[in-house]
Amino acid sequence: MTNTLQSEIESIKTAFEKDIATDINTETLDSIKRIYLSRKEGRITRLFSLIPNLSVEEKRLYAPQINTLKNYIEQTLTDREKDHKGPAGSVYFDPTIPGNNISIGHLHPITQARIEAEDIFQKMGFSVIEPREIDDDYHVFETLNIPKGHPARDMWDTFWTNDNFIPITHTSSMQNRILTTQNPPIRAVVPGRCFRNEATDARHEHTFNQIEGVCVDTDITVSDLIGTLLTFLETYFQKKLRYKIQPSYFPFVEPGLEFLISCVICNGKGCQTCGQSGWLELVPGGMIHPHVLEMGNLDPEKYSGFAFGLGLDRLVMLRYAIEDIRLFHSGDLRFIRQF
Amino acid sequence: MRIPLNWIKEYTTLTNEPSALAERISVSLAEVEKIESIEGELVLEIENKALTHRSDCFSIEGFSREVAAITGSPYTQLPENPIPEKTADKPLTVEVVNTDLCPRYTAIVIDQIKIKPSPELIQKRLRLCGIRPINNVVDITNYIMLKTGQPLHAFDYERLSNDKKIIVRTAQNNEILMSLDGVSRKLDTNMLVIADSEKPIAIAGIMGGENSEVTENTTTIVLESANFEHFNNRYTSLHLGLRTEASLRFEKGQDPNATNRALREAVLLYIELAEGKIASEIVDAYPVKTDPTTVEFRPSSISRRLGAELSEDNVASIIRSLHIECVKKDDLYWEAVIPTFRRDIHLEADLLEEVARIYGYDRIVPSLPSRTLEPAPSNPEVAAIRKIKSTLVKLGLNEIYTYTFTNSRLYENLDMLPTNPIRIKNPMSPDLELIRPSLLPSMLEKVALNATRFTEFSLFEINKVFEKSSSGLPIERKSLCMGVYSVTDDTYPKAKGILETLLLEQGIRHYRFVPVETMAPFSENEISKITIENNPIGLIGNISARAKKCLTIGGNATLISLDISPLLNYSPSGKEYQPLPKYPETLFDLSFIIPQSVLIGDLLAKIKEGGYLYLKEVEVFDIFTNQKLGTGNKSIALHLLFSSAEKTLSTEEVRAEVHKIETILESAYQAVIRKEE
Repeated sequence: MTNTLQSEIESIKTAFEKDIATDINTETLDSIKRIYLSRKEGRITRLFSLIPNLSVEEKRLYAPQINTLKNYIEQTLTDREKDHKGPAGSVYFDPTIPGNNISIGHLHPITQARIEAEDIFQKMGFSVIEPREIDDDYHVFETLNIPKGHPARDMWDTFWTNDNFIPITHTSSMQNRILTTQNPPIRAVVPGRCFRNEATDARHEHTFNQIEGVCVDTDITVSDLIGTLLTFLETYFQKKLRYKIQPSYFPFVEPGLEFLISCVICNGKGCQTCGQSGWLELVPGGMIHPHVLEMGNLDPEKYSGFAFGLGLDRLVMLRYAIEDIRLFHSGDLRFIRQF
Repeated sequence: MRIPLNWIKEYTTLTNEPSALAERISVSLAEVEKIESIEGELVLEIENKALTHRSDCFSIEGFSREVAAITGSPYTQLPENPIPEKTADKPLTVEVVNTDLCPRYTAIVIDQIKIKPSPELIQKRLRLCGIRPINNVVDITNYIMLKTGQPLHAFDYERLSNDKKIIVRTAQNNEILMSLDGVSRKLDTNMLVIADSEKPIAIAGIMGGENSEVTENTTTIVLESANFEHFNNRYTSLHLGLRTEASLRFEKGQDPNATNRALREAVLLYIELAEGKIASEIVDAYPVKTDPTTVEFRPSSISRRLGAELSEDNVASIIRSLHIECVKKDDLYWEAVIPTFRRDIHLEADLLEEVARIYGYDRIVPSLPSRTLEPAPSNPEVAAIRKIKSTLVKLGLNEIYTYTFTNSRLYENLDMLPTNPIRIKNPMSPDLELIRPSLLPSMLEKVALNATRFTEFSLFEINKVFEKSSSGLPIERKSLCMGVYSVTDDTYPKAKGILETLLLEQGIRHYRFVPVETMAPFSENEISKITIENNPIGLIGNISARAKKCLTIGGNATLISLDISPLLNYSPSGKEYQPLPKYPETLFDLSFIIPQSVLIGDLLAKIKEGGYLYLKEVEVFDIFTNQKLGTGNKSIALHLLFSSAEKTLSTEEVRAEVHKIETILESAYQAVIRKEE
């Protein structure tokens, strides 16, 4: 009998391990549990029912073994149940449940673009200078070769304060200060807020952000201007661009030009953003006018330079295909949180 | 400006396809915005702005001359036919009082005019250029203006004063003239008028007066072809708010030498199309003749500035193609003779532009300025603001931009309007007339906007605020504004926590919060000043019921307004490293009851004043009130952290320090220390 009991214990263990080793689901797990632990006819239950009939020696020998086997089977089944039901035991673990809603802060997209632009220009040797936002006629116009009464003043729809100051129409307002306070070689960019009194719509805003660039040295050329603008824009947009130049007129540069690039949205094929032309008129610029250098106490015979004005809002709009410039000042979190 | 292609063809050959021609013009002169087909003819629409300095291009002749140079085609000036002898001798005298404002005044009398419609060619060309045909007398003036760029004006001769004298003078103050558009114009003494002996009859170079207007009964006209100074013309046009085809041309500066020829061409048309007869000499008041100027230039310098290899002859031939004669002076210098119709060329740099655009920007190889390896100097303020923004974003705030322009109404409603604000004289709308002295109202508006969609958020803005200065330019200060909003929770502790973290991140440790009784837009007794060494740097507070009502904000909102300059001195080397503790730290919790009126800030400052060997940190972890504590009391619980760099502290050593703190609290605030329950 006792040998039989010994082998019975061992065979139950082997059988259980075999049962549990196969691919099991919750249902099979339940039936395995019934086979071994059912109170009426479970194999372990039956083993226990044999114990009272054993001799003292046999009890001492087999009872612990039976008990160990029972614990082992129970524990194994519980572990396997956990695997199937998750930590709480009662519900399934769903790894696809929504994560907690953790909100992070966002920099305004124009701040982000400004940081990027400043960093690119700094690597190219340009320092960053911030403008006054309300300035005088002298810095906004006169030192830029735009005397009072000049028809070119119409190109800037200018606001005036009740004290006859000007919310700056362009960050070129810092040119004279830069030229008079620095010694060549001068390389500076001026990011800042500008203001124009023009009707607003999806493409026009009375408040916008510009980066003026100024570069003066003994031998700065038109080709340097072209190369600088192309390098900046290709770095910002992270792609090769085609460009072209159209003559334009700004009294503080001579020659004056518009720098156009192949449309970054359609790669020059023609789309709504570029008005089907394939081109984006992006940067007005030119060689600094000799009068402007002179007013900056620099000898135009000795020095030459270029200047340009980049629209930051436009750069951001082009990168993300934002259709309405007015969103930038909307303060609307639905907009800001996307960047 | 609209240019019909067929009209240009009278002056030069167009070999390019229209679209190729338009592209060529765009990259060499000014952008062609579109090519339109009007009445079966192609018309170029040119961007005016790029031609602000090119008054000569505001005419078919001048534009054709440019197109010829750009395309390398010859330019043919049409032959000029002589005008016949006069057949009558009607009196006409001209007196120019302000010769500086009117360098030249040319006029003639034509009689026996038959008013009728113009021939179709003229009418059509006017229409293509955007001018409405009226009758032959008016159309001829417009047609010659489009062709030559010289504006003309016809007066009814019979309606002039009996002495038939034309006087060019400045207006008397508040002199009134009814202009042709039926608007009564009040003039000032800067404005130039054409007058007869009795009355003004035209605003010089802008618009004629009704009192001398050509009517269907007119048979005799005075035809004016004059030159007016451009700044003055623009002043008048701007101040009267009156822009016309004539002022568009005069304000850019016209060639005084063009008046006579334009007048004669018009006379021939009056004879041909209106059966007119010449009834006077050409009266020509031109006291100081404008002559061509000379400009010295160095082809070598032009080529170097372009960054392209151009020979002397290359440069010279490009300049000559633009009808600018030039000769070599010496090894270095050449001299260009600038025709009087090119009023934009004064310097070598101006010739550089001519060469650049005709040579072609597309032929210039891009380069980068040569420079040393020296790094660009960094801007510490820009760097500090970047760091501040980055900290705030890490703390979960979203950055917003709001307008510098705002309105008085909002400031009045919030009781925040300063006594002497800066205003915009010409605002876009009444909502944008005030230059803001504070960021707070704009922040409130955006909190209100977002509160309609979100239950909890924090915003910040860094921008400038403005204040009048007695000594000139307004004072501009960079300001930081934060708004913390929640529908349900008390927002003050969160806002204060954000602010304190920011201050610490900027290396500021010795700040204090000092309660303030009242200050808009904050709620009374829920405001505090933030001070550094007793200097106030900003405010934090819960917004007032008035502000909530005014902007319809339902939940809780705490706003912070901070002058940013004290936060800009941060440098990473200012951070102090502390070695990690070698010996165990001992944490002791102390709770006690004190009157509610005791400020936690004061209490903590008081504890810190005590001077301890081992106390490292004090942290408030619980504040509450209930009836058990007795009215007017609150319970405070502190974590006290003790440690020593030399040894492990004994219970007695910690006890001694705690006891010292308990004694201070008891004596200063009548604190009742709560023993472990």
